[in-house]
Amino acid sequence: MKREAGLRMVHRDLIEVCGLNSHYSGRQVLFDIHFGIPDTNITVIMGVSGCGKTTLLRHMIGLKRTRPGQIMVDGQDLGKFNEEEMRSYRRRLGVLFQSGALFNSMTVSQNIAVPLKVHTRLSDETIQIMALIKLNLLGLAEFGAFMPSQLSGGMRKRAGLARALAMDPEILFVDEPSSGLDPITAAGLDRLILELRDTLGMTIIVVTHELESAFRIADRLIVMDRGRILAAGSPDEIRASQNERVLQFLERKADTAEVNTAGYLSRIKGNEITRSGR
Amino acid sequence: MMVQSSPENGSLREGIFSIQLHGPVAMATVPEIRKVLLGAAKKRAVKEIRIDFSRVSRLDTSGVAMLVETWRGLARRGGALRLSGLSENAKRLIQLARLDQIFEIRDEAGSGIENGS
Amino acid sequence: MTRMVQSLGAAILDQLAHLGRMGLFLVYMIRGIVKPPGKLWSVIKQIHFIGTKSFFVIGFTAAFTGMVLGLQGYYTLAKFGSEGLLGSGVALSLIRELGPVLTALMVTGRAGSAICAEIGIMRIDEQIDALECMAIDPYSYLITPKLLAGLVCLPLLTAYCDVVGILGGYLVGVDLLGVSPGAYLSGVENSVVWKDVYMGMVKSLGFAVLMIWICTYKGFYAGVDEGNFGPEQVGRATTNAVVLSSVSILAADYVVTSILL
Repeated sequence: MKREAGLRMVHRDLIEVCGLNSHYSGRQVLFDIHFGIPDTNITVIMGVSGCGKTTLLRHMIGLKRTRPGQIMVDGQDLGKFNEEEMRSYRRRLGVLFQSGALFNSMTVSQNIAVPLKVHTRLSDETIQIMALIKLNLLGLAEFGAFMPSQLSGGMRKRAGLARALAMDPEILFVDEPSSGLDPITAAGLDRLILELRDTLGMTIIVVTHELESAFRIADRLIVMDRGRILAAGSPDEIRASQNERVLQFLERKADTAEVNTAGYLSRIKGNEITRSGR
Repeated sequence: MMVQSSPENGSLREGIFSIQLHGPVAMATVPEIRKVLLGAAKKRAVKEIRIDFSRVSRLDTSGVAMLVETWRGLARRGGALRLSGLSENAKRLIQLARLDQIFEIRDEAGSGIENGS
Repeated sequence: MTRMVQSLGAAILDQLAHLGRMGLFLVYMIRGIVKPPGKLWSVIKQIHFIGTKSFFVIGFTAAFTGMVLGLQGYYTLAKFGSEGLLGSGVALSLIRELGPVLTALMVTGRAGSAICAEIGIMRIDEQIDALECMAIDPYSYLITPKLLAGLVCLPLLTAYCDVVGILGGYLVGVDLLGVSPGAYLSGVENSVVWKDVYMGMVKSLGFAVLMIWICTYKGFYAGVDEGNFGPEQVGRATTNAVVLSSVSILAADYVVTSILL
């Protein structure tokens, strides 16, 4: 598993998704998803809310059970992992959840220290310095002693990213990094993600609906819509796409097809409508 | 996980403690290496610590943190920490931690244990 | 017609699935005792949490319960001219029954609900997911320390409740109603045997397991089934937890009593 940062030659797919289908209480949310995540690259999964991108993310980090044969990690079947194998896999990951998911009962520094205390025999002093280094990456060096509730939403997200980086992960998953952040902070985060790829050769998977951010950082883009992949490729390829829904997404056109005018007029006229008048 | 922590490889001559590290300097190996380095940094006789990284396969944040602790131990007494033989990746990591101005980094990739300045 | 059978079947299967899940939860919670990470400090913090929340509540409960027992006991025993047995009556009622049960119910209301809410909030904020993704077993890290703390706290709080209750009975019986102090205290001393104390302690240990199991389980799965991770889910989980815990404690009380008597 070589991490030759700066040497971006032939990429193998670190994670391969082959024909993934997913359901939530009987309703199908992902339909036959196929794609690969090349290593030391930044892959961005884009789509409108509800398109299934977060479900896809949860499958890749093992939070949603995957059937055998649908996701391969380093050639091994994620769906067949036992507890030990899943634990090994997760120790290579860092995950930033949408809200930051910091533990409320401890300070930011203590949050970052959690995986280090559990998985290593490093001393408290060493861990403290490691936490400070990670906080500084996120511009939070002065806030180590703060409790999560004392921070703004944006700072909590950044602290969550610092914690995701605590164990120097090989693979970083980020769920909606820019949501809730002002443009300057969001741009700073994008810069950091690029730096992580360039300096440390991290494989990064970002789920987002923010267009500027996505095009700024992606090596590969995957556009999803209603549980299916609409398009996948380099940013240039996506920009050149002729697919109508991709264009719609890129140009942020309002979705006129969805508006059910007849249904609306009927209701407003006071006619009896059955409950399933969707 | 090989660190020559036996006295002959961490050698002390004229106040300079020189040591060559081997293999990964990462979360699994740092606790052991740290004992050696901090032990040296505490000694009154040690005025400078030189660490040769040319045989180090990998450096991670815990290794960098360990270097900070070593530096702190020395800086209190005005001592210096000199690193040599760092790989590109290791240098980048130290830069990412904004510590390239604090550690003295030499570019010689030699086998390390040299005398004098 | 088939639809009715189908939904009935689905409901039953659902309940079975829930029971199964709850059973697995218990297994993981207990398995967490032997799994890393180290828990000592965490357990101590939990003991502090449960203990401080419950201390005054138990004190009040015990005092007034003891006093009521003194009153009721006196008037009942007086009908048979056996006022001297008041000490025994109060002590045995408390030690064998009321101490463990009331302590468990009060602690459920105070600490149990707080624990359920705390874990529920962690669930809706994806903090439990975060733990899992850090390759940390959430049961071992979060839940097991609470179980161990409950096993330590509940018997101690029960004993404290017993003592305060007996004193309450003394206050009413001796100071108010004129039972002789000697008769009261020797009644306590003579009629309480190890088997009674043992019964009380076994009950409080069992109630501790029930309370922590149910409260942490409800918090852990707050919002998971509905797929809706909002504050109302936490509130609902907490209410369910307290009700289910209380009912289970009372039911278990009967079972244990009938076994041990």
